[in-house]
Amino acid sequence: MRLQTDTAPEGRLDALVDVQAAPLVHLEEVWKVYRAGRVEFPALRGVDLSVDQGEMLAIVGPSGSGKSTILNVMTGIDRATKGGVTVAGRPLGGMSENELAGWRGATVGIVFQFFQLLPTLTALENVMLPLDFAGRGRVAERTDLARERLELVGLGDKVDRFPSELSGGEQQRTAIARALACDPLLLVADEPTGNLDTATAVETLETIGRVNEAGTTVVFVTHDQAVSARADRVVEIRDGVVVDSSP
Amino acid sequence: MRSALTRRSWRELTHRRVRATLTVATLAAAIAGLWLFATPSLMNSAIDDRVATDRVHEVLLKPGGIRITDAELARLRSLPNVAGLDGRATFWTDLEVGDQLRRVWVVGVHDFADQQVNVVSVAAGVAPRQHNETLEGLTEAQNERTGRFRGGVGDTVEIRAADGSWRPLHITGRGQTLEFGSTVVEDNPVLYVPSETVNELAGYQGFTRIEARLVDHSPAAAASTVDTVRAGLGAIDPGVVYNDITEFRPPDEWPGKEGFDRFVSLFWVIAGVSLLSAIVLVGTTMTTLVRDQTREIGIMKAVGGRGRTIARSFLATALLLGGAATLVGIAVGVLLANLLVAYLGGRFVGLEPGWQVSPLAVGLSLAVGLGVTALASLPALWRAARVPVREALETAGIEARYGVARLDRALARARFLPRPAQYGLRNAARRKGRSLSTAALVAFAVGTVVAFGAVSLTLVAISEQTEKLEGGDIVVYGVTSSGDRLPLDARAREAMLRVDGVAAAQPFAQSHVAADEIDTWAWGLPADTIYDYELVRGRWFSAEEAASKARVAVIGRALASQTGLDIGDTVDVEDRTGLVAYEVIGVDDRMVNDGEGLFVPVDTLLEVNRFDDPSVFWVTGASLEAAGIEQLNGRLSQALSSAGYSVGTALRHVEREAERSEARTIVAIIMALGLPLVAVGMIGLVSALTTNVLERQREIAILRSLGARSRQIRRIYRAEGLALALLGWLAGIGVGYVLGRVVLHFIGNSFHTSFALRFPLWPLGVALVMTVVVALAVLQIPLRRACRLQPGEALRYE
Repeated sequence: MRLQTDTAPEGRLDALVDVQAAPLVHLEEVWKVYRAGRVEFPALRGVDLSVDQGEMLAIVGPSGSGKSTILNVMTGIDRATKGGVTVAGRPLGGMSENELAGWRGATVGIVFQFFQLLPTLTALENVMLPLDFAGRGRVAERTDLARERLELVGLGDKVDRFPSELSGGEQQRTAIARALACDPLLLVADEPTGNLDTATAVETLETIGRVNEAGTTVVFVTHDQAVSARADRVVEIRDGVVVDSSP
Repeated sequence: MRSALTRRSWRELTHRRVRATLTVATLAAAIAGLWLFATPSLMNSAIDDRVATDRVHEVLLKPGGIRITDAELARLRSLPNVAGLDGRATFWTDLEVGDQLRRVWVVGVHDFADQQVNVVSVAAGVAPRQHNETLEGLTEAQNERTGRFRGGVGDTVEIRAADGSWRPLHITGRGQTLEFGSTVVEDNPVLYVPSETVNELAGYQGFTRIEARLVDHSPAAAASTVDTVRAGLGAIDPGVVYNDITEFRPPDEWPGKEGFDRFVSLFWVIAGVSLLSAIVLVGTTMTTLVRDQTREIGIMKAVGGRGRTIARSFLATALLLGGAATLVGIAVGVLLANLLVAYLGGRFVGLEPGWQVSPLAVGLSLAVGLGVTALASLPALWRAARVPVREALETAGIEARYGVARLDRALARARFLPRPAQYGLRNAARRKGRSLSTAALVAFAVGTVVAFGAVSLTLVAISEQTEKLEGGDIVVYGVTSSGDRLPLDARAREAMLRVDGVAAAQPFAQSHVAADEIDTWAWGLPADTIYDYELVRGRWFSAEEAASKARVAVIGRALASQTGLDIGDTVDVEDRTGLVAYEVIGVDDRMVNDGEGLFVPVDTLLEVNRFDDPSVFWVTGASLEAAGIEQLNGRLSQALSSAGYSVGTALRHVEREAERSEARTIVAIIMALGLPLVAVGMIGLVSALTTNVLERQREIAILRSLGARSRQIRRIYRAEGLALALLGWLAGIGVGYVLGRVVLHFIGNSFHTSFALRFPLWPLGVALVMTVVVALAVLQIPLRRACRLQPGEALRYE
């Protein structure tokens, strides 16, 4: 299901060339320390982790173990306090917030736990948003592409609905469509089924599975064993340290 | 020990410092704006103090130079109902200021050590003493403030004596009294000297003003006392004549009050709108504050908090914020109100009031700062308390039901707009209540600018129209050394017409009168006058009526409106010689003497005043150039002086410029009065836009996560800010029009007439630029901050 666009961004082409042999994501001795006033809290303590291109990786662990922080660090949403983060051959440490935003738009798709759709935009517009930011093609082309993504997740008939008019499952699928809008190399999802009923969760996982089968690397966080079982590899994290990595 | 709930209330102030500071600043601005209510009462109170301190006269008689000995003065002072009485000599002459001559009023003080009425107090230096060789005097404190004459203690100035010689006057100090200080404001510089100095300079003896204070101020008692005083003066000098009507000052009147009262109506309008703005602002601020904490309310309910207990805690926070804002607002308000009173006092009355605090404004500040703040929080608290716990826990203060309303659907169809504009508009529609409140505040501010701009332009237009009315380029008036009129007969007119460059010289006469008890001026004009009258109804007097000295009058529209006089009615006019009845034949639309002027044939006015000849001429020059007119003025003065006439002249273009300057000042004052309201509106906009960005850092982080660059985020939020600002601006045009009409209605009422509002486009442009610039500038800081934040941090931000 690799997304075909005539206007693939330059960065994406470079990335594809550079990462033929190397892992897509590489975390080396990554530390993340949160500071709140005088209190310091190390969320990650020297994490080493690699994700191969095309792999589907699940990160599991108890609440507060640092699962979401790993996702944040590998998408540039948070900066590592120490250590190196390289994604698609680009070290993220030296990039400015603006460069990171641009890079993220071109390379990464993110599915948030609470969907985080913009309430004032319709499903179609929410999906178009990353395309707008990336400045891909003309508006008509972006509209077509966004519509295509929504059809892909089974929401072709609800493109003009506002988030408040969609069910939880539909909102999550819209969020997935939005994450796929720019044809990312890497799709990350934070508890993608955490707020869904069982049937909808299954549906969502199948969608993510199809995305992965089409060649997109997927990393997701979950605390649900049934969900992690669908991954190629499961990494367990506890107290900010990777304790187990099993296929 | 304080409960956890009480601690929460306190900590709320420090937990979100930026928001708490913004809230306090917003509420404080609203409260400070309320102090406009205090200005009229502070002004009145300051003036009442000065009226008492300066012992301002209640009765003023103007005899033509009467000599009174100390013993006779003592007898006059002991007349029944006389609380105090002073005689005063005055002298109008020229003062040399640099290379310019300026008309100056030299005011005599009988005895600086024993003053009973219109007391001239020494503000700096020492009181002057009469010397054989050297003249000494005080300069009025207002001279310097108004820029009429900036001479100070120790200076020596040259003034012209009646015999034409120049005499040095040594300034020994600075004096002040309300009566003459207000004259400075309206007219010319004043110098205080001993009465003997006036007599010596002017070449006459005695007093030209008898000023008295009364025990019983009732009109009947005042009139009776005036008769007694006149009888007393008649006993001193049986041939005494009066150059003017007797002036009565009611206890609640003061010099300059009429002008100030016209502004008071403006104050009330502005203060009313300010109060409305304050309530909207406080309501919006508190609603936002509470709504943002819906999640906390959910948490409290989840752990067993009851609605009332939670409400009390939030109310406590609201009251703490309101209390802090009230203190700040009162401090700023006291400062602003006193600065305004100081400015207006100097502007209208020549007053330097001390610092005062208005109990009314303090009460109002407390009521709004605490009462309205608490009340404004209640609806939001009530709504928040009703939200189900789960929903409250999940909310981040963002409206989750967007898309349901028709407006939402309509905006979704506005695809012709640029994308950021579409997003911005929809975001503005997301919290409709808050957006409307913000737009309302902007509308009030814009409306104020627009209304005051329109009112100012209307007043300037009226003023310009009025200044064009009087004819001629040069006013020539015959004046004696004591300031009395000097007839300018046919020979004088011929002398004027012979001067090279004079195109015409038309006589007119003026007399201070009471028309149906309204203090005003009667103008004696020819039938073919160059005065540019515009009749509302009736007609101007004919050449036959003028020749037969008919008792006919054209009256100003404000005079007609106040007295109810109309065509065919009789107006009773009291002048210095007694009562004269005129038939009203026309009503003039012009605003001469604030529309209270009275126009009669010139020979009629001369006859009733028992004058043989006029004493004033309008002279028209052949050249329209200012320089040419000034040269003509020199030749004219020279020619009349050579012919033996003592004349003063006034250049109309100089007067027009002075009037224009006056009009500009009035515009500046009106605009300045609107500033607090504009500030409240702008602070409301600042607060709303800043809060909007601050509370949506999470959303900004999501946009960042989707690849938005800071430039793109800025565009979306700017569009939202601009949408609110433009909505406010649009509404402000309507508000401005209505407000302008209301203000002008009040002003028209104070003139006893009505004015048509001019509603030009430029204030709309000014307001638009101002609103857009403020909106864009305001968003810079929070947006920069939000864009610098790492998305991860912002996603954790609450």
